[in-house]
Order: sequence, then structure tokens, then C-alpha cells
Amino acid sequence: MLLWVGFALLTAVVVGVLLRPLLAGASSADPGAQSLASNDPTAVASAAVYRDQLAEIEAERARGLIAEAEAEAARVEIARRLLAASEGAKVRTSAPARTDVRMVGLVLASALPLLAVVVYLAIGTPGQQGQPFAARAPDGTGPGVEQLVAQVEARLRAQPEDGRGWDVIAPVYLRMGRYNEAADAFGRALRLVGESPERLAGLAEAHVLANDGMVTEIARTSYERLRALAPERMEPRFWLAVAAEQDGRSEEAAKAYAQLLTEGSAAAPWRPTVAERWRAVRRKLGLPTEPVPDGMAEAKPTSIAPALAREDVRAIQQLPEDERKRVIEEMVNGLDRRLAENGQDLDGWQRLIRAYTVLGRRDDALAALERARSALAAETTALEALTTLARTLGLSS
Amino acid sequence: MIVELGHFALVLAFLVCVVQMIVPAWGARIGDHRLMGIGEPAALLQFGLLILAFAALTHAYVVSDFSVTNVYQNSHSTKPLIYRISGVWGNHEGSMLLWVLILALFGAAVAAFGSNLPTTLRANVLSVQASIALAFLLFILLTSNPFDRLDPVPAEGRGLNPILQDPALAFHPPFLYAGYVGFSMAYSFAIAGLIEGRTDAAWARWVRPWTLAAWMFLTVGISMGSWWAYYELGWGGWWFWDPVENASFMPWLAGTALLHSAVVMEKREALKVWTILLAILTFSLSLMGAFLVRSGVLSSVHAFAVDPKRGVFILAIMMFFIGGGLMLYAWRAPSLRQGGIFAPLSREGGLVLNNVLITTATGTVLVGTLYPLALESINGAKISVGAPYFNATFVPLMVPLLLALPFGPLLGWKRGDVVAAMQRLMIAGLVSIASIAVVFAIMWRGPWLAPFAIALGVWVIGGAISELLFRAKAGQADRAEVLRRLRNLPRSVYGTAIAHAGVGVMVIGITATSAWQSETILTMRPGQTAHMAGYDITFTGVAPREGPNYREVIGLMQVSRGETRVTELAPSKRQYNAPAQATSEAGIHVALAGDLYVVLGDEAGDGAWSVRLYFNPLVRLIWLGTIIMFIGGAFSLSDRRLRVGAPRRSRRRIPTPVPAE
Repeated sequence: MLLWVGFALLTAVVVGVLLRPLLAGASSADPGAQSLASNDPTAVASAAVYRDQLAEIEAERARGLIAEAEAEAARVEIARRLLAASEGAKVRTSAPARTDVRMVGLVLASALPLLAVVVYLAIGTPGQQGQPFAARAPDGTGPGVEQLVAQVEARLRAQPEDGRGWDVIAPVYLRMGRYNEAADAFGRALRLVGESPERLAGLAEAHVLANDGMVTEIARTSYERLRALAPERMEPRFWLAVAAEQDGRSEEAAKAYAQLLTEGSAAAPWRPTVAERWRAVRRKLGLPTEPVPDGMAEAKPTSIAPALAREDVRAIQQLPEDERKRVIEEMVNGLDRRLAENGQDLDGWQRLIRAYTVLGRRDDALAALERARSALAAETTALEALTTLARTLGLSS
Repeated sequence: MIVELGHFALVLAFLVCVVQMIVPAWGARIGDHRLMGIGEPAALLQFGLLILAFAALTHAYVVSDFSVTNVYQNSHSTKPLIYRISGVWGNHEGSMLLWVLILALFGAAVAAFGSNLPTTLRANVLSVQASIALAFLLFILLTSNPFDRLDPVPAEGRGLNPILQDPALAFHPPFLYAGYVGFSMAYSFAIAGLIEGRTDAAWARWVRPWTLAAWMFLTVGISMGSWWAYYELGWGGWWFWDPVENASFMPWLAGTALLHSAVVMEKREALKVWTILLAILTFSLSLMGAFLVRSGVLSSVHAFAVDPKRGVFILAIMMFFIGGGLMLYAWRAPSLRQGGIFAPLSREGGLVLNNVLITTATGTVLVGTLYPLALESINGAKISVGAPYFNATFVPLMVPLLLALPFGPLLGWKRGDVVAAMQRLMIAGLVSIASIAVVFAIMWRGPWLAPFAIALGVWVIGGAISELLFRAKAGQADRAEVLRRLRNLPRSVYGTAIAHAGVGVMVIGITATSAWQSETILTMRPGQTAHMAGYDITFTGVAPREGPNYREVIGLMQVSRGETRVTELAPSKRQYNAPAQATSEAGIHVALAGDLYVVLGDEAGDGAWSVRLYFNPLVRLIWLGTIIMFIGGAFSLSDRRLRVGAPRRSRRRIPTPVPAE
């Protein structure tokens, strides 16, 4: 409300000041007209300038800066111009037209406030209060993430050597997309608290994201360190492969991707990404991009039972042909039964579908795919994995 | 509430601007004084409203109100107060607001002090000025509104580009804008003169001081930018012929020409048509500078508005005002009456020579700036037109200009006596020739052209002093009389002499730095000592340091001269965190003879660091020269201000040259 009062006052002042010359000038007489016979304002103003110049010459002569002869010559020159100016003016002199100024005033007085409000409402935010930093209560209506971050930041500015603080804020920065700050915070935490796989991974990830996917030198060394520290983790291997690719070492990258694909879990969510990169690198090298490594692995029966210990696999392989087939059929059926009881097992479903395909029971494979899809309908990543699998096995229509 | 009041004031300013554009021009057309009379209150109101808007935005910055998008994007609650204030114009939206505010300031000045202007001229000038402001207000409201709000409100702002957090750069834009926008006055007067089909005494009397004021601001603005580049970029250079620099340099050159031709027009009513063209061109170059820097055509620190929509908008504004102005000129200029005639060898003739040389120089800079851009847009080839091009084109144009410069003020109006002028410049000439010998004796190894360039600077300074002495009748009258005359000399004469001397000082500085700069790049281990220009620089090691929003490595350098310790320099490499940027801070030791300039490079392994050492002889004279030029301008301007309506040098308007008595 107060805001609109302010707007009204401001508008009133503007309209009032703007219209004054219109209201005051009901009988506007040219202020210069008395001094010169001509009604032409230009001539009046020019005459004023020239008069000033004459006075100036007189003053300079009095101060002894110019000689009498010079002053006289200057006076003649100015007189000549004065004459020229008034001649030019006569040509132009015309009677001023009388417009209906009241009309103009009325239009201005009504249109200006109206337009101001219309334009303002279109682009302004009248409902929003100002929020000076100091006036904002830190414990207001439940602090948001940004508020908390700001508090931690304030503390860290006071105590920049507080490694725990940097450790806390770094992953938050990363999630907020403030990658540079995340990288800085991870770096400080690493220096102040010590090395840990999480910090190394965070530092490297922040650097990669901050540089639009480029694996920088810092990211590369961090990932190398991380690989040494936690060999079971997949992302250092992936990103080091990406680094190799970016460095132009394509063959090395292709090999690393292939290794990731064969060693990694078939259900890993990163699988499509890695496969895509593998294909891209192979294409660049002019090598065939099919089959994708996990497909190669499927040719062997071992792949249908990755859950079995290696000894068991070897034992099964050593059995006679009929015996082996029976054992496998038994295992597959067992798996099928188990999944019928509890369908929340993507890994299991994938094994089952593969097994049916390898055994040549295409209809069963398709049925298993359908069952898996309905059982895992709530999980999008799982569905994606199933679709990919179906495509690689040639089950998708 | 304050923010929204500011926003509303901006909207009102826009509407008032519409009124100011239409009503006075209409009144001037039909000859109605009451309608023309709306121009003044409108101009004052527009200024008042924009002050309000600007104050509201500044307030939002000072209290860190992050509900304003612009504040959130460009400020931070921990920034020092001065950078919170300078942050207002340290971004695209705020700087455009500053731009229209200065436009309105000049318009308001016409309204407030223009009572002795012819009514129709004043009405037309205010109308044209309003049309420029309108274009930019529309631009602000449609594409770059500084009052856009954010909801929910972020807890903390994003901060200001660390490079901009620097005193010289904080106040560089307001000066630059005052210069750019100041030339809009000359433009508005030119257009109004063309619309009326005549220019008279009052026209020239107004254009010159405003152009002078704009020119002074631009001089300081450019000088600040150059100073900043010198100490911040860490290359030891002070001018790079960078397109962004050129964008501000071209209006300055054209403005310098305009300033001189406006003198002719004021004193002699000659060169009218040419002066009008120059006025249009000068402001056009200002607009082009704004376009080049703002549209993202050039990438630089300044290009904070890399947005095609904005670029197209500014391009449209630029085309309208440049194209419109030139078309009006082509149509109306032939109808303007030509003024006084003069002999080629006269003060006017000298100023024409000045104009020819300076506008040609502007042309060469324009070509050097636009050619690479045009080429890139046509075939995508990236070429870089650097110092060699400008040294080969710009510098040769400056040599005759500087040679002729001292003659100008000593020639009489209308018909000059060159022989007499030469006699008066005899001493200056001898001193300058002597300086060649002296410089050769000291710098006998150096580039052989350099002593001549130094002599040129000495010649210009000597010429300026000679002019003062001649006017005071030194050597003819007794001492008391000379002193009396010196005291009584008009301040505009002092202004001319001081500004010209400033040019000479700058020429000496530029020559010395360019010719005799020494540079070494070396790898230093702690404890190692390097030698440069008589200094011994010992590298004692590096140390890390944490700043409020950066980390840096400082290199510690002990500087001594023989046995005496001189100073300790600490050049550093900084890494800012948000936005992540690396900057290098040079260590500079300032001395009379020149600057010792140390830059820390990269680590070269096992404790060794690469270090760049420069010695820039007399480099300070460059900026000292610009300050002297500014002071000269101020002298000339103060003369004008204290004695309104009284052109000083009227005695030189006499038709016959005065012999030296």
C-alpha cells in the first residue's frame, strides 16, 4: 500500500512539473521580445552572445591585453556578424501558431500515469519486499540449502584453516553445480584433513565438470591416486580412459573401455555410457564397433551364471555334453522360480534372459523380459538396462 | 519497496523521455513557445527520476539485497563497500543505467544553463537528446532490466569478476561514459542545427565547452584503463591496440579534432559544415564503441553482455543514429551558410591541418579495428592486427601533427605570419635539436629514431612555453610587465599551452618506454641475483598466502642498488575461486628514471621459478602527460564557466595579424 502511495506521489510530481509551462503560458509573451524588435528568438539569443562578446572586448582592452586598434577591429567584426544574424532572422520570422495547449495538457495528465502503471505492472514486481542481507534472519522460516551454505561460508571465511568445514561444503557445492568452488573446497579439505577416496573423487569430478568434461591434469592425477587407493572403484578407470582418449591415445582408451565392459557388472548403470564411448573410439580407430564386449562374453556359457564361483563353472564345463545341459537347465529353472517369488532383482532377470537366449529358448526369453519389465516397472534405470539388453540380444522387435 | 520505487522511477523516466522527444520538437515546428517550454522541466525530471532509479539500485547493492537478480549475479555480501558501489556499473545492466543517467545529466545541463540559447534550438536539442535516451531506456526495459527480481531469494551473491575489483577499473567506466555520452551533446546540437537549417554564434559557444568536458573525461577514462592494463595484465605494456582500447580511442581522436574545429567555428564562424559532420562522427564512434564492447563481437573483460538479442538491439540503435544523422547531414548540410574565409597559413589553416591529420589517424585505427572483424565474419579467418600495423600507419601521421603543433597557437587568425611564428619558436627549436644530441650521447646504442622522437616531445613542450612567453612579451618588456601580463593571460591560453605540453610529456614517455624498455626472462632459484638497469634483484623464495577469495603464491624479491637496499617486491600469482581465474600481480618499483617491473612466472621445478623482469624508462610520463592534458582542459573550461557568454580570445579575431611589437 505504502508502495502505491509512493508511486502516486512520484507520478503527481512528474505530471505537475511537466505541465507547468503549459498552464503558466496562457498568455505567453516572448521574454526576449522587449529587448529586440524582432520576435525571432534565435536573433535575440545571437544578439545576446554578440553583446557579451562586445563587453568582453571592452574588458580586455581595459586590462591592457589588447590594443585600441585591435579592439576596434574586433568590434567591427562582431557588428558585421550581428547584422548578418538579424538579416537571416528576418527571413524566418513567422507568427507562432496557437495550439490548444489545454488539450495537450489533458492528454499528458491522463496518459502518463495510466501508461506508467500499465508498463510497470507488466515488468515490475510490486508484491516483493526488499531483502537486505543484514535484515534476513538466519533462523527464519527454516533455512534453505543456500542459507546453510552461506552460514558455512561465513564461518570458513573467518577460519579458512577449518578442514572439516571445507569437507562438509565441498560435496554441497558439487551438487549445486558450483564446480569451481567445489574443486577449491575439495582441494582445501584434502590439504587440511587428509586424503580419502571420497575427497579425491570429488576433487576430480569437480574439475572435470568445471571444465566441461575435460579431464584436466589435476583430475587425472587425482584419479590415478584414487585408483591406487581404491582399486575396486570404477570411475577412476573410466575417467582415466576418457583422459587417454582426450590425449589422443585412442587404442589405450579402447582397451580400457573394453576391460571395463567385460569386468563390470552387467547391470551397472554406467554400462551404456561406457559402451557408447567404446564404440566411438573404435569408430575413430576404424575398427568394428560390434559386437560390444559384453556380447562377446555371452558366447560363452559362463556368462549365464556369473554368480557361480569359477571352480563350479570349470566343473560344469568338464561334465559330458548331456549332463552339462541338464545342470544348466536346472540352474536356469531354479533362477526362474526364484525370480517368480521375488522379482526385485535386475541382475537375476538379466542373467535369466541371457540364459534363455543362449539356450535357444527365444519365447521363454521374451516372456522373461516381459515379466522382468512388469516386476521392475517402478525403476527407470532398470527398465533402461532391460531395453539395452533386449537390443543386444536381438529380442526387441 | 525501495527497489520497486526505483523501478517505477525508471518507467516514469522512460515516459517523460517520450514526452521530451515529441512535444518540444513539435512546438519548435509550429512555433509554440509553451510546447517548447516542456523540454526543460522534462529534461530535469528525467534526470531526477534516473537519479532515483540509480540510487535505488545502488542501495540494493550496498545492503546486498539479493532479491534483485542483478545484485545476486554481480555482488557478494563480503565485498568491500567500494566494490559493492562500483559493482553497480561493473555489469551490463547497471552500466547501461549509468549510461542513460549521464545522458540525462547532459540533457538537464542544457535545460538548466541554456537560458541564453535560442528557444527553438534548445527545444530541438532537448528533443534529439531525449531520442537518444529513449533508445537506450527502451533497450534497458526490454533486454537488460537491472530491477528484475528473484524469488526465492538466494542466500549469497555470485560475486564480481575479480579482475574488476581494482580501484582503477572501478572508476574507469564512469569517466569513460561521461566522455562517450558527453559527445552526445555535440551530436544533439549538430542534429538540431541541421533540423533548423542554421547554426549561429550560440551554437558554437555551446558545443565547444561540452565537447571539451567530454574530452577531458574520456582522456582520464582511457588513461585509467591503460594504467590498469599496465600493472594488472603483467606484460609490462601500457597500450596493446586491442579492439576494446581502440573502441574508446577512436571517439577520443575524433573528439580531439572536433574540439579544435569547434574553436574555429566559435572564433571565426568558419568550418561550420565540417564541424557538424565531425560532431556526428564523434558520437557515432562512441556508439560503435559501445556496440563493439557490448554485443559480444569482441570478447574481453568488458564484454559482460554476450547476448545476441542485446547485440542486435544496440546495432539497431547505432544504425539509426549514425545512419539517420548522416542522412540528415547529406540532406541539410548544403543549405548551411558558410562562414568566414581564411588564408591557408593562418590559425584556421593550422587547425584544418590538425583535423585532417587526426581524422585520417582515426580512419587508420578504424580500419585496423574493424578489418579483422569483417574478415572473420566473411570467411572465418582470424587475423590479428597488432602494433606493427598501427606503428606503420598511425605513428607517421602523428609526426607531422606534432611538428606543426607549436605553430598553430602562434599563427594569427585569418592570415598568419609563418616567418614570425618561426622566430618565436627559435629557442624551442634549438632546445629540441640540442636534446637530440644529449639523448644520443646518453643512449648511443639505442634505436636511432628514438632521439628524434624525444626531440619532438621537447619541441611540443618548448612550443607551449614559447607561446606563453610570447604572449607575455618576454624579452621585450621589463620583468614586472611580463609578470603582470602572465597573470592576466586568459585561462584558455593557459589551457591550450598546458594541454599541448601534456602531449609533449606523453610523447617523451611513450618514446622512452618503447625504445629503451629492457626485458629479461630467466629462471631464478632462491638466493640467485639478477641485474637490470642498475638494480640487483635477489630472489629469496616463494610463499603461499590466502586472500579473502583467492590463494596466491608470492615471490619475494630483494631489490638493491649496489650496497643500498632499495625495496622489496612481491609479485604474485593469484588463483581466485569464484569465478575461477588466475591473475598475476606484478611487483613494481616506481622511480624517477622509470619503473622496475617484476612478474612471477611458472614454477620450473625444484624450487626454481621463471621470472620476467622489465625496466620501463620514464613510463610514468605517459599518464602524467594525460593528467596534464586533463588539467589543461580544466583551465580552458574554467575560463568558460566563470565568464559565461564571453569568448575570451576575441582579440585574435582581428582581420589583420598583429606584428610582434
